[in-house]
Amino acid sequence: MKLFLNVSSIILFLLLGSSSIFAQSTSKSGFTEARFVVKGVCNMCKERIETTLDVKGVKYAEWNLVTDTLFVVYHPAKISLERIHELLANAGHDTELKKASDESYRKIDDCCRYRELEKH
Amino acid sequence: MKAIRVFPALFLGAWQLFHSPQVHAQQVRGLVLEQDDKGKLSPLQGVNVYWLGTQEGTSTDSLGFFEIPTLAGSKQLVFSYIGYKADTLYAKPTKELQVVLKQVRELDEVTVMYRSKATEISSLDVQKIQVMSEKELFKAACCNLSESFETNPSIDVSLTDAVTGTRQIQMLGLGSPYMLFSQENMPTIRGLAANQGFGFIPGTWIESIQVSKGTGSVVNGFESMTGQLNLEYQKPEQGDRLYLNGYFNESGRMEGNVVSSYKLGKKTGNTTFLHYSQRPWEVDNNGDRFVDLPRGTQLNLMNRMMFADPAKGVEAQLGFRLIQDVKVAGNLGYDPRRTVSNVYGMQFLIQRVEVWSKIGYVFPNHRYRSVGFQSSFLTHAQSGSFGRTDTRSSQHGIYANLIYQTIVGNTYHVLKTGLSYQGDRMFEILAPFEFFREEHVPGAFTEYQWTISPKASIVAGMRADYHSLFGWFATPRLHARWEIAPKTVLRFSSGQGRRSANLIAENEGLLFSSRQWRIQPTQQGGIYGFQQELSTNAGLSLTRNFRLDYRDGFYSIEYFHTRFQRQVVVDVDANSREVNYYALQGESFAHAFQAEAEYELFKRFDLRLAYRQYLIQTDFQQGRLEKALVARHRAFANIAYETRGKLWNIDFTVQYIGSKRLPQTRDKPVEFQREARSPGYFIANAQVTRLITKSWHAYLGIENITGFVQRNPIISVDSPYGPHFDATMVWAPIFGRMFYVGFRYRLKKEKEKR
Repeated sequence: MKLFLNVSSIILFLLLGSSSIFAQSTSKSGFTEARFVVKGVCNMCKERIETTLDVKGVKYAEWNLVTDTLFVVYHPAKISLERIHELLANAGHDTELKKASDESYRKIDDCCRYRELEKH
Repeated sequence: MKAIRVFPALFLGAWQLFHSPQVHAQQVRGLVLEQDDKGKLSPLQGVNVYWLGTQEGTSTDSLGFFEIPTLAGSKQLVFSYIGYKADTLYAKPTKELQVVLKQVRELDEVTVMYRSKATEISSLDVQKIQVMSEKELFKAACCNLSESFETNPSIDVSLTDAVTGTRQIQMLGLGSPYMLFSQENMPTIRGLAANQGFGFIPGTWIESIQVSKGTGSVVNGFESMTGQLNLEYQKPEQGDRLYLNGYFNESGRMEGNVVSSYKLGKKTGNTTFLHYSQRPWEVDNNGDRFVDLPRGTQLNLMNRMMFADPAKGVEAQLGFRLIQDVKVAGNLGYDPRRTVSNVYGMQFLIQRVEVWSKIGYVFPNHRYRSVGFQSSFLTHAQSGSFGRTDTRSSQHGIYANLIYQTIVGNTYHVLKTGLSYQGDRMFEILAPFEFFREEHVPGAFTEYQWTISPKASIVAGMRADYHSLFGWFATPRLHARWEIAPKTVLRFSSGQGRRSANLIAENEGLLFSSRQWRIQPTQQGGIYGFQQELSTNAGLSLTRNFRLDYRDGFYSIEYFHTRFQRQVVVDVDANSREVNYYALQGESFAHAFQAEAEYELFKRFDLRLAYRQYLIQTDFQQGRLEKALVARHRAFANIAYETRGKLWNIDFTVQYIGSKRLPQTRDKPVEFQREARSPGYFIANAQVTRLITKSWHAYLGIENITGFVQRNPIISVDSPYGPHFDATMVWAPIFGRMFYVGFRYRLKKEKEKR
């Protein structure tokens, strides 16, 4: 069913060639967008942050290295925003709402030590 | 540096505003900086700042500051500056932006923007350039450049003959010699290496490949007639400290690659490449007493050193490469050291040396102004015997290119101009022929890029060259890009191209037959008595990148037309026991149409579909015919899936290759005649890659899953010295299903701690 929906929406998209109609349809499907700050310093951090959020309920996650902002699209019925913050903190990254424990912070690679290092 | 760390903190309070509507007439303000290799930041003046997909833009002042009103239609700001990697980011009026642009380290003409897609097309380049990253190259684990295009619909791969297993690549339906092939924007694989050369570039050495169709930039010469393939090798800066690769397949091919990058001081880096491969034993699956693939060994060594001092604006590199390749094929049991009558054998030895250097200088107070000089030298010698025909050839070549780049007024007007020299000395023996020629081609070029707006730009180029055999000639080129709607780009390219046809090297495959070579020159001197080939190419393409339901995709349609004004026609149809070479009289053209779409259907599940169609015809002496052995239709589907956590990578490709016209065999006895056309067929490949640790990857794959093969690829296989022997009519794989396994071990460089 999901495949069918995706395929048919592509066909529709190709025919109409407009992305605006889909911008609105996102809320109908139950997904919510959120942006918040997650601390990190390099592309390895980006990789870790985005992979950490490759879980059920999260549709899309993109972290911006320059602004430290995470853009995440999730399904509130399947995963809460708090849980997303928690996952990131458990992976060693401080977020706006949750600070990583020293123990999980120590587990990230040397080049990712955002508490000591500057952007690179 | 501290400033950057401070500013995300200021973002904290602003995040609740996400769903609030855009407030009009607000300003986005910010600062653009550059960072040198010591990490020092300084403001950058004259950077173009504009809303993605719009004409609304500004540039930074002498302190690097900019201010731009927000726009309802676009949320992404593009920062671009010559010599620096362009950056695009989401901007909000709530906070001052701080952007750090990085300098582009290479003298590249092509700006490549990396993301995690395996293949992508940037919507900012004037030419449509498809970038195949390492990820794409991993999809076809074996082995070298000629085999890297299994998952790329723009390039066709076919076997030149049923003996050597040489794969020839084609673009727009015309052979690889009509393409300009460059390594890091310097021409390579020209002349004698035109066919075999693609086997000399191991896949693991390559960082990325850029594929562009239609005539290329005049800066790279006059030779690109149908398109350009540029490849970037692993670089000391980003490369692994150690990269090992081992490969083994069912046909007995084994291969090892070592690539190692390391620093030699603060500003200098070095990368060493080593490749060794061999197939030690004979394989004959179809039982025709001819080996399906040649035995042989290849030893390939390359080293490159790069120096960069961004503070002074100087960068340089020096490289060399040594290749030795030996191939033995023919009847089972053939031993090159013994001659047995009626045993057909082929042996071929190639030795090649390449040396190149590059030096670039960016004026420190005028970052938009630069000078670059590239030069290369090559020596190529090959010798062998094909049945009872002996052949020996050599090529010595020199290439030099001096490029000066500046702006006219502002960065919307970029001018490149320079001088070039290309010299070749060729010596070829193929009894009864003996050819020697020297070509010297000094030339001058100018290219002007006008960015009319962020939506539209034009590149117009012209070169004037003097050929020592043919005199002066001009080469005009024109490229244009127009973003007709957000993320929807229309591109146009047109221009002329020319080259010297190397009859023997390019048609080596035809030597595996009883065909007599008949060359019908039109003039004294020249190249085998012919003029240079000359063609005009024009093309149009439409590419749309889209994000649908938070997943990225693109689709494109394109059409290219190539028309020859002069061509050396290779005629295998007049007589099935001859190959005739003569100058084109009448028309010769190729129409190429392609449609392609890619989309991430599910999380980490990419689907790519493509269809392409050719119509290629040439006026032969006996009338107009479709080009032989090129499929008119080809359709293609590739799926790539990555499991959660990226432990497993699965790739599956299926292709339909349409019917091909076969050279006529009506004048042969009935038992040696073949159909007029080949049937269409499907080919499927699959591969699974497993990440064992961060450093260790292992892969297992199957090529040609259904085992489709061409039966009896060789005509008159029992009497290889008889009058009807012909191993050149290959339209499908000869080797059936093949399993392969391999591993990659990558030891990343230790990150520097600051």
